[in-house]
Amino acid sequence: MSIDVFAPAHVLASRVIRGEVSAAEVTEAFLTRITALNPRVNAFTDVTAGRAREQARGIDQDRAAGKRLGPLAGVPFAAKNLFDIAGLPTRAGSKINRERPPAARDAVLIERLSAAGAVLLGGLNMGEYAYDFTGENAHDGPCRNPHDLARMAGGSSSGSGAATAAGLAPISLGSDTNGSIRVPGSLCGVFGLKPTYGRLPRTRSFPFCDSLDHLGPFARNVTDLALAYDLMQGPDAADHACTQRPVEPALTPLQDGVSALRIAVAGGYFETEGMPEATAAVAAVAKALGAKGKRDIPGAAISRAAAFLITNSESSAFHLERLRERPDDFDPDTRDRFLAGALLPAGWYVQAQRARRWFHDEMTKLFADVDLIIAPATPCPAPLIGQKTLEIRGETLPLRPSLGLFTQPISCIGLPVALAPVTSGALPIGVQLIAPPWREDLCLRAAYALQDSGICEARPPSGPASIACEP
Amino acid sequence: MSGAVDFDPERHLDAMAPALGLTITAGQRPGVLQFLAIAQRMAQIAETCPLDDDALDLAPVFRPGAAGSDAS
Repeated sequence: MSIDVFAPAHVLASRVIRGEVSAAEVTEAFLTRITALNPRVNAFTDVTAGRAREQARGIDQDRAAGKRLGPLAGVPFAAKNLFDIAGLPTRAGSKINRERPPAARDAVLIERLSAAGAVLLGGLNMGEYAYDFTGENAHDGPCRNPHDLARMAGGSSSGSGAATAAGLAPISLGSDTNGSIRVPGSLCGVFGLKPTYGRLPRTRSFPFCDSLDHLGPFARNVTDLALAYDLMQGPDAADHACTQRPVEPALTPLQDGVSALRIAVAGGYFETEGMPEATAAVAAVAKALGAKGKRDIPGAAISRAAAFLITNSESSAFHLERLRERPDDFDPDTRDRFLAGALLPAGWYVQAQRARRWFHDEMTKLFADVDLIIAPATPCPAPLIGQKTLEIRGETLPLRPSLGLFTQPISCIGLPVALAPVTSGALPIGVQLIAPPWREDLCLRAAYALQDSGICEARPPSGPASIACEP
Repeated sequence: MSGAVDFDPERHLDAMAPALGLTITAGQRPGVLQFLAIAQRMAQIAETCPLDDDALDLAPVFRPGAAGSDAS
């Protein structure tokens, strides 16, 4: 029985539910592909083959017994290695965390997807302690972009973007503090959802920056993205930031269209002069969605600065003991940022938290007459691995902080964003679809409309430098 | 926050690192200074936020009691 590894997850689940293919066959097909391709892509750091086979067997036995299967029956998925996976130390991209005892229990979001029948294939590469936009990692090696193996996957959820783009996992889980779902989604050309801050529980995931940490899914298909998101919604008392709101399904209204929505393109701070791929992607999406004009986003630069300071201060304070005792065990590229962050004056941090509240209130005013905002996700498609600087608006800037130029102001105030990939040249680039708080349904409706019109697509890698080429 | 314009990353590092028990080697120093300088530029941008004098509305709000208790 042939398995199309690029088929939508909900199609795979339907085939398993109808008995056209077994969960065991689907699992084996993906494990075989991981064995063949992961040495080149480096998306997986742990493959949980035994557990996956056992779960798949259980699903097939349940079907044989006439039991009702979950909506993701037999669908393979994988999680950034900052999610607890029972039996594995939660490394969070670091060397130090490998000494932690194995996790006793899966992260809540892994439990929720598993309960729906999804089969966990393993843990995924990431930038150390999530302080990264590149996908490079001194301990595990760089995660490579499936469209061009010499290029970055983007970070910090590098393995999540790469695994889903490469057809190694139809659904993956990542985290986004400043853009770590949206940057790899853009560079790897897959759909992603950064929900509203507090929507999905972070219970049993390794933190980076409590004020800004979000978790969310990646998928190659918008229906899959909405389905996975819906299945993961709901409160959890162990995450103090998690909302008490009831589940608000995004799948049901997914095909409602966008004709009734007031859609604008972000201007000002989000202008893309000198960034031809980002300019083309935003224009294509704006045209397809019928966007009416441009709206300046005053305060976006302030919000980005606030996000930088909050992240730098909180994360460095969290790692202070490790920075004191084991600085040489950090990835040098993240260690120097953490060391600097540990030294910041408290007044900078408090001002950042005040500015964050202010920008939130400003954006609330803007959303009085706009339902959805279109903005670029990254200034450029995937840079080469090892690249240290980016040219932005005539200025040479350090690449690591600059890849998040367009994502940081938005996550700073927790707005929901769907990342929609556009492919016009050899490499994909993403566009952000930004909605008011708790309106993930609008982001996903727009993403679905773009997929339906063919403007946005998670295209299988096919270029001469991609995973499709011979090793 | 007005002191931010006088910020000297080198002097700041030399004063703060020992106070926090951090040893910053010669090899780490250029990278740390680079990121301190970026942080200082960010602090200057954040300082331009037009806040009211009497506004202390911090984004994180602490809610006493068990998680979810305010919703019941």
